Amino acid sequence: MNLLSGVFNALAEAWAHKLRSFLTILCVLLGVASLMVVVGLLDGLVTSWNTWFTEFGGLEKVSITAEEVSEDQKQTLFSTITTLDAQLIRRVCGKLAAYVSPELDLESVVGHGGHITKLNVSGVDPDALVVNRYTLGDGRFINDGDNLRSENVAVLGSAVVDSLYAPNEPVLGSVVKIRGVPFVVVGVLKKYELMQDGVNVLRSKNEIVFVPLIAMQKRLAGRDELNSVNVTVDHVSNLRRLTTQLGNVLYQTHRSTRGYKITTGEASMDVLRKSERGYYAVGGGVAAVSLLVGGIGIMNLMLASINERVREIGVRKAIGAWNRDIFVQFIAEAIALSLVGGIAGLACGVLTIHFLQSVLAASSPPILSIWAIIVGFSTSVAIGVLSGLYPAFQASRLDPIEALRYE
Amino acid sequence: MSLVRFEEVSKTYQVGNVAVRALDRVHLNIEEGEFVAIVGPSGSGKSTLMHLLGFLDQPTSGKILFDGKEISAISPNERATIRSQKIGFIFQAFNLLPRITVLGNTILPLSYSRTATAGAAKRATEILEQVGMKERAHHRPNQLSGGEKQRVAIARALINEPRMILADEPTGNLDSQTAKNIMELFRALNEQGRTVVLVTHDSDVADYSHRRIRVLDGKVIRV
Repeated sequence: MNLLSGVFNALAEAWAHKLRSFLTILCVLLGVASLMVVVGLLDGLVTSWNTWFTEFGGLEKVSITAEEVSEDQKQTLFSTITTLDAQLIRRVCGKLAAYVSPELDLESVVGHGGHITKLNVSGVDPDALVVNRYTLGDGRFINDGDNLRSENVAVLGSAVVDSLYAPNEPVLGSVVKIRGVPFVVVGVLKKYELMQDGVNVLRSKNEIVFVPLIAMQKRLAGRDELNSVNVTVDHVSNLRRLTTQLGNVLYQTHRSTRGYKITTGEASMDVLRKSERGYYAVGGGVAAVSLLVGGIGIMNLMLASINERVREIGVRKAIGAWNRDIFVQFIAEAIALSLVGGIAGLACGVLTIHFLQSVLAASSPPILSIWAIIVGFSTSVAIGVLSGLYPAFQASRLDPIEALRYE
Repeated sequence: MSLVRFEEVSKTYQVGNVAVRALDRVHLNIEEGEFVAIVGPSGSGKSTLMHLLGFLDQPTSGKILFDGKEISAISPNERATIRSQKIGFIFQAFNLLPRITVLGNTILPLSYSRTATAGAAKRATEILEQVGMKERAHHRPNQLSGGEKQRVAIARALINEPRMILADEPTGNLDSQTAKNIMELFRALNEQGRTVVLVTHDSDVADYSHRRIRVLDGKVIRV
């Protein structure tokens, strides 16, 4: 008897005990479906974390910000980041620092056609687009010429356009007033959206106006220092070397005063990875327990079924079945039950994930990954084999004489 | 030539700390084409003798020759193969598998015979016709009467063309008229040249045989 005909016999046997088989199959079904849904939910969560992390610069981004020196030292020591820092970083760390973006931010009232909005206006170089991971939706970004000629041009985030302009109103070429100063709009940024618990966590990426750094310094802020210099490393493996080099440059420009802070994405990355592992361990544990329940259900059913069919085993052996044939027969039954449960579980898992995707669209919806399907399916087969091993082994070892005598 | 030959065959069972000698130095000879009845009271060793004849068990000592070849000490799988190829079993309780049809039950031994089984269904139908059960081929065992079940069991025993049919109280669960019909079937099979060995304590049934082997207290007392 081969495994395939064994599976068919097993399905007939399962059909003869409909309720009992149904309950066992239900155990496996719930296990596989919950495994898939848990994996899908976690994948969805981790994906949105990663997107969020990447959209705000990712692991390649290094931020240099000013760190205040203590009050009583302010007379003699200074703690500002300047354009000089950015220039020196470009020159001295140029091999590792692929992009260097000096930035000066200023909370400003921006107005157009009678509407106003208050938001962050950022004075930048062309590198800011890449370093801060923005993509243009329309027009162009700030270029070197804008800074050289200290042009009053602006690039608007999508939320700014939404609040200042009427639908279909031309944006490019129009004029916005920032703190009363007119700027010509030359570009619009792509709209960013990543919903978590009903909130667009990338919202702040849409609420931005970029202007040339020079224009910001001269016409809006009226000061030369910067809020930050953001640097993108050429490759993540060089991150440590770059931060050391940046430290050296700043140590020099700041005359040995630690009035600056260098932060990388590593720390937040670590937190993300740790929570990711924690979530997978807990979620996987819960799913594993329900799969274990399914396995116990199958083993229980198999033991009961074998107990009822001792005589059948005796007859099969008397007419020539080897121990191996009996073993295959019962392992096939266990596999058949878990396969049916597994396939039904996959279907339920897919349906549940689709359902959750529509319900949780505003949060972090689960992802249906091929990986979850493979894991769900193979665990159900593995459960069948593992939980069937012991009962099948017991059955195969029955002595034919004893088995035939069994009442 | 003798089909089965027992030489000094003993079988001892260990029951707790006590060794029970179920068969004691038995000599036995069954010829090809014979119709033999093994009779004796319960506890006489009759069942043990049948288990050894049917290769369900092996002797503690002594030699068993089948077809002139010694097969006393062989592995359980080799014994299973001999059972499948040389012996046709018939039981008192019929022991048909309830979930499969008459035809499926008849074919079942072929799935364990480890040889090509082309034309199995056709062959099974022929044999069912021979035992008068062709019309019932697609019924399930629970739709059959006792006599019909035993006919199917006989068909199942015949499907592998065994050298010996071994029937253990084949009429024990049947009324006398049905029993008679079944015994006529055995007689017919024997007349076709098949070796039939019956185990029974019913002397009416034993009357159909050509020879009785009487077992008492683990010894064969009349051959």
